[in-house]
Amino acid sequence: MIAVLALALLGLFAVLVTLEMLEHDTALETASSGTPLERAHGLYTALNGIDADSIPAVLRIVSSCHFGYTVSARPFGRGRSTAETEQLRARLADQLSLDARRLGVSQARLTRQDFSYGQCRDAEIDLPVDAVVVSLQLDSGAWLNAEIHAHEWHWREKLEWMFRASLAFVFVGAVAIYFMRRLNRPLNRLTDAAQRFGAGLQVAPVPEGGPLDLQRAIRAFNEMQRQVTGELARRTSTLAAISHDVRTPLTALRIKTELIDDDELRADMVASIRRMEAITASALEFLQGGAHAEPMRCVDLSELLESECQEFADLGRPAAFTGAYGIRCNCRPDALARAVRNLIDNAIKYGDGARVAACEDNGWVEIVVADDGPGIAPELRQQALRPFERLSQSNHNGATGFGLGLAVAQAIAAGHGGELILDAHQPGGLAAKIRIPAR
Amino acid sequence: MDEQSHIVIIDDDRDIRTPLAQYFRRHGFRVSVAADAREMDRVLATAHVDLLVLDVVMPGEDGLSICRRLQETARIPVILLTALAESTDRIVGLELGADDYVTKPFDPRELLARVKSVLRRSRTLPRRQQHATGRVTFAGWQFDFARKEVIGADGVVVRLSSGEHLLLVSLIEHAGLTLTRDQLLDLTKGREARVFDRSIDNQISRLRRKLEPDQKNPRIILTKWGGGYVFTAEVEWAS
Repeated sequence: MIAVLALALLGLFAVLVTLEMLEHDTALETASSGTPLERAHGLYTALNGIDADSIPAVLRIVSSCHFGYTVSARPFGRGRSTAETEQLRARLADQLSLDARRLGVSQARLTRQDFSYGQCRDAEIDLPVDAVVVSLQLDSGAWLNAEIHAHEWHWREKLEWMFRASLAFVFVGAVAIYFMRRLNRPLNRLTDAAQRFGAGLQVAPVPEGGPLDLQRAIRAFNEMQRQVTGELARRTSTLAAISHDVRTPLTALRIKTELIDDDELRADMVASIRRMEAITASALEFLQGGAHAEPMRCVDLSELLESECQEFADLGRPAAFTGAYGIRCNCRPDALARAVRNLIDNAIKYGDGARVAACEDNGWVEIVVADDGPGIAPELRQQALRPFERLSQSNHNGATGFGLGLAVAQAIAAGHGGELILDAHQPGGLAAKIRIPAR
Repeated sequence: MDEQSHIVIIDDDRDIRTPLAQYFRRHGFRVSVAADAREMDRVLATAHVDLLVLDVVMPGEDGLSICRRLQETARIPVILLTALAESTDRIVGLELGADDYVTKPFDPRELLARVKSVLRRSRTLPRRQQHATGRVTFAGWQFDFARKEVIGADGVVVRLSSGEHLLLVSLIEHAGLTLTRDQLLDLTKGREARVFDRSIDNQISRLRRKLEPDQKNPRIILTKWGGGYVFTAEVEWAS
């Protein structure tokens, strides 16, 4: 925002400078302004009061390179009349209370031969020059001719103007930027907090600052955070309590089942109870999934992945870590391990085994769990990530999952500020990738 | 042998202790039940007890404080029934002197296996050293028994698999003592009655890879002639 403001100010400054540079009075404009006419009129009045012999001397004194005055029997005739000159003539007649017949205004192009310009040095003026000649008839009948040409373009004047203008702009700019920053900082904090809240439901109250409107917005946002997380916490703890409390009667049931003599019946009942246990375990895991119970720590990611694969291998289930070693990252190790475990579990269930790899890439670490199973079609991938969503109704390899694995893994990835990506694995199968920031 | 062993099941939930007692009796154990610490004390006062199965969460005196109390007086093997899960729970219970723990909901068959294992161990191995906490430092590594990880001198967390974790705990708890492969196998029978495909040797070599600065010359876990391992690094227990 500050950049836009600075650019706007700079643009405005540039436009003004250009306009100023290009500004160039015409002779007519100079003539229409006050000073040259006042001088002419003053001289006219003075000349009316002195005798004719003194006139040449006075004219010599008064004339300069930029203000040329002559007296002649007839009015200046080499110029031409235009609508503007006539307008000026009428205005002057009115202003000076002179009869219009005793007044002449014409435009001419004056050369070195003309009247007073002989006094100009070469450097002072650029000849030939556009001028306006105002002729006033004196009481004696002779005509006073005043030559007025365009105000010249002076470097120094322009530079001085630019200097003053820059000072003004810098001052305005500084004040504006100061106020913008006061607004920006709390606004940025609010935006960051909103993003973090959306991603991982992390509650960090934003300090109120900035203009009053913004303070109100921040206050409302903080209140919203409190209420939403409070509500979520209530629901989560209720669900967790339910899952938890189910465990005790389940345990009792389990023990009693062991006392059944009928082997087949016992086996059946045990299987059913196991499914119930798995559901409550999954539900609890999901509810804790995004929660930040653990602190972030610096972890050897390669060893973590290897250990997880080892857990499966120790049970005779195919999972292997293929490298790379020595990759470290900041993460919540228990949560990340759980996410990876879910992905490996899926890979074994729906594929022929899990191949786990890790790599570092530009400040991110990527964990890939690949299998050679049927994979997940691109259009079904969004669906697969939803909790309790299972893409196929049949049990693959006697699978007993409940569709929470991917949802939990995604929640954990998001809680790390990263994401879970489902991709196709060449030549066939699924590559589930967890990408999180390395720091 | 086992058939003569007397175990006491202490759990406030009758729905659990009664069928559990029945189950153990079917497997040849003599079983007494207690609903709380007071009833347990009565049993202990009147009979010889070989092992206690103790529920952690109980009204009145809970399992953990009972455990602490017992270690000061009776030194009877204890297996805890906990309601918690995950790695954070090798817990306080073990730090207070329990020999093993099982989380609810549990498979009674697994509890049976654990009971047998603890009884066997209590006959062949000297009692575990008791310490106030389960946190140690050795050879620049920090290790908390409750967590499946070791923390290096540079602060980086290196995770351990369940098998490696149990193995390390067992080795440290019997530091200085040579443990045979069979003993180690017994000590490390995992949470879900795992059958370890890999032999103890493989587990040791994986542990060494993670812990030893020079794998060719191990200093932390040494191999002994005759097939055994001993933890030789100096262990400092946190207090």
